[in-house]
Amino acid sequence: MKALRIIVSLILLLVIAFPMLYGVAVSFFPKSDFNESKARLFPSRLEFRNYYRALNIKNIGYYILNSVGSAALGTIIKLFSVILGAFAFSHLNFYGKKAILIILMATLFIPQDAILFQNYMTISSLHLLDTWLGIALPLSFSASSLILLTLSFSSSEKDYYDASRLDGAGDFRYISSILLPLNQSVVLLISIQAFVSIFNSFLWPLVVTNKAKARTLQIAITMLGFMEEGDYGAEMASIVLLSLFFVVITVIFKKRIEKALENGINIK
Amino acid sequence: MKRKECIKAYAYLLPCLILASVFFLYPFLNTLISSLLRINTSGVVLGFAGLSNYALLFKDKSFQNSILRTLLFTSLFVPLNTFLTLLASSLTARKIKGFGPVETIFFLPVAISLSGATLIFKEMFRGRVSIINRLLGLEIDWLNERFPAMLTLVFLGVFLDFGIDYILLLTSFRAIDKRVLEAAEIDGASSAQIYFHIELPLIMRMLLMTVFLAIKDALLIVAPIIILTEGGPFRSTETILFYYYIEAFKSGNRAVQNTVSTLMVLSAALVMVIYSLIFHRRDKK
Amino acid sequence: MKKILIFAFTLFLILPLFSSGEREKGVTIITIWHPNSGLIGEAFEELVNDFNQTVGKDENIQIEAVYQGLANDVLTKVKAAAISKTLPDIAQMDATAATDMNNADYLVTMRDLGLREEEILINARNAFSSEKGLLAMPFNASSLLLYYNKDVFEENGVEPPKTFDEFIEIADKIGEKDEKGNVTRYALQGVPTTFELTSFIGAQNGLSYIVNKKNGHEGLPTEVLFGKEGTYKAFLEKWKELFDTGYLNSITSGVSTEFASGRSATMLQSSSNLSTVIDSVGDNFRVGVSEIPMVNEKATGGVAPSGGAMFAFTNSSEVRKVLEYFMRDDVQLKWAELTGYIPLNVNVYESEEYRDFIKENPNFHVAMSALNGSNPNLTNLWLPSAYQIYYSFQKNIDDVVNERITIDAAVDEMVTTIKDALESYEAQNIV
Repeated sequence: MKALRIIVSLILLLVIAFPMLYGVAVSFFPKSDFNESKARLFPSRLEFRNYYRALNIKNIGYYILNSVGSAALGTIIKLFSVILGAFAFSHLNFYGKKAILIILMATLFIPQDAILFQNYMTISSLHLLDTWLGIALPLSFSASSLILLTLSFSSSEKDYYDASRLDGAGDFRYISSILLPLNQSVVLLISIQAFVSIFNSFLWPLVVTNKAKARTLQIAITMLGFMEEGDYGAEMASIVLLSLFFVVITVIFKKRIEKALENGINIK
Repeated sequence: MKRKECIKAYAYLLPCLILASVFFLYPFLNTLISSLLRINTSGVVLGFAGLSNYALLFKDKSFQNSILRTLLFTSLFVPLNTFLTLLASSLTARKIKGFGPVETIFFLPVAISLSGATLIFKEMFRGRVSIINRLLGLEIDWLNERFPAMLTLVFLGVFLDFGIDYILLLTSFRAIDKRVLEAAEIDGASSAQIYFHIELPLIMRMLLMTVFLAIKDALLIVAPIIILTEGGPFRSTETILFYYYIEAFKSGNRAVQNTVSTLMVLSAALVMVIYSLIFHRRDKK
Repeated sequence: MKKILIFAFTLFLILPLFSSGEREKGVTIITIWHPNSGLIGEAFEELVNDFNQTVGKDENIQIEAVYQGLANDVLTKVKAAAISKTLPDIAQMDATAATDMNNADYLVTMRDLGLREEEILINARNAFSSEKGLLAMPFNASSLLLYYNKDVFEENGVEPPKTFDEFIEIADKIGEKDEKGNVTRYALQGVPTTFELTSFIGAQNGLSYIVNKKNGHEGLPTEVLFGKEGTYKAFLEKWKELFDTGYLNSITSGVSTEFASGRSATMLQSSSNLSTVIDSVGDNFRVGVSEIPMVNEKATGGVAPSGGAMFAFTNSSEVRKVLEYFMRDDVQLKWAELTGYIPLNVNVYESEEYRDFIKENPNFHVAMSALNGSNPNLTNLWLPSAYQIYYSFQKNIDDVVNERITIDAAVDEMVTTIKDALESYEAQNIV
């Protein structure tokens, strides 16, 4: 039984890991490897030029700073709003609870393209064009994070909350010292997801920035024109480099993630 | 309900409400109202249209086609995604020695950008000579045949959602009180019985939530299609939002823009009503 | 955590310092939004730098070029910027922007600017002209070409086909099958769409349009012409015949890679991809280009121009001077040499330097002479719902070759599709 479990897991592992490994392999393909009559699994030789091209961005420091900055800002805003919101939904009783939740959840189904122009006008009238806040704000609310966190919060023991209130601790104290540690895996998950999605977004940051120095890494890479020039190797190298950033973060936080996973979410 | 608690709750909800109102609900309300108006491509309001924009939309064969394609994608994607993530999380729920890295790898797709993953799949499934064909001994021109192109999209969809669903389910499994499982074991329950009668019901809430998010992702799929298939071959992967993308966003058709967005949100309401009914029944039990 | 927060907010607070660019007094900044990336982007930057250091310096004008994504992304940005009144002075966009811009009240036409138009190649001028005159200054022009595998053609002793009949005749020579009868090299892969059809239909009888009002350049079309004129049918018949040789593969994805890897002896592509194609083919084989095959002997109209143009949103002498600079013959020549676009200043063709350039790069000459020899009134298509019609044509053609639908029924279907799009546009836009 255990052997079967391991075998099936390893097959699944192969399925999920293959695209990532193949992406890395392709990022080393010299151009001629793309034309062969049978697709290659490994490059005929390691083409480091792909990486050189992907990294050869003028003022790359600015772009990295802007990407990281706007994504971090957006993640902080998202966590702040979603944690407080989820706390209210899971721990408090108030009028219109269901209605508000449903209205917030309806935002999940609004097509991003539909609200692009309106949001541009809003950001522009707030004088936030070319700023991190302008990039981050419209991307920093997510109903799916809100419901996941609400679901997760609502299953932690209410007794803790009552006890902490009896001890005279305020809500913020309770959230930061009991609720968040108990639910750290979900919090970690939505933080990573928020950061990655803002970091990787293209159209919105392109629309709200005009000055070269306010641009993000995704825009700078698109500007290199690998896809239009058919330079798939360099394109793949840039994808690997961008993902590498997160892989490194994952490895750094590996212990934390694993610990969080061990605890699990207290869903009843 | 205490008044003080109400005020406190509204205060905590304020950041969410502000962000959602300014950047989602206000623009959507505009869309909803506009869907009842005649507006030309330059944005000038020409008059009241009633429901004629909707009539025009449903008459459009391409829109009808896009609904069918979206339903096909959803009916393929949601079961496969649910099955695979549930399988992976069930298998690894109980710690296996040395499987720490495996869990991390299952989680890694979260870190890869949507466009990056899509481009990798485009390369993996490129034509008859693709690496997938070579490894599996197939002769399929994946992106140039109708059903295979749809399947490629489904596989990509699963890859994109795998990481987050896996973690959500895994952590739910691990949160189950071990004493309950041990007690069942002592009572002589088989591991299949334990799984189906104790574990699965206990994670059902989270499972339903991941299914809900999968349905949402399936109904709204567009960005991978733009990069992977452009709705092709021969309009076989044109989903509702892809139709929306080319007609409303790129061709500036305001009627399509406003009606489709409104309909998407209405369908969301429908899905949520069904969901709250399911949750309600479960809670009653 | 606290430290990170403080750090992030400090960064956020100092960010505005970065974006406040210093500007010299008395210098007019002309902002240009453009879609030029990669090598073409570098070439464009070079032209801009040249301007800033020469004409710009003398006239106190500086160009600020801002990359805004693909041509269609530029249009998205322009539409957004128009609403909030943050338009640039100039934006470089392609023909898909033309209908939008023709209806936009913020567009400054070339007539408004007082730009001299005579030196601009007439075909390119017509591509961006409407009833309002020349909407934008053509800048990067290209045309449809037949790319072919020179090695395969020479080995089999055939010339690039001038007509579809010739193409059908040589299909089994340039195509190849293995012992089992599987095609290992097709004569041609791909499915034409609006872009190709404007030429395949347009060239017939010297000049034909897909819809009336000069393919939509003189107002919203009221009639679909290819149905009753039989031009689409004529094309479909030849295309079907080519398909029936067994050496035409009806695919929409990966056409360029199939060609580059030698699995397709020819392909239909824009001349703007020439450098890219040569580059990705590498040492596999030698690439040749020729004019696209004619549907029949009477299809002498040539090709419709494609490409982009500079749309102006500010009416000033500085904008005019910038546009005049980009149309100068030496600038157009340099632009052509760096990118492979067709030079649009007719004076360029007389210059010694250009003759030397095309002698060394004969492939680049083909697009230019194809366009030059085409009927100047053969223009690209301006239609609402352009993208839907684009994909509809592909599906329609595929249905014909696979005999899911007869040719006559297919023609009717496309006529209806376009009529429906026009009617729905009219219902929403015409008072």
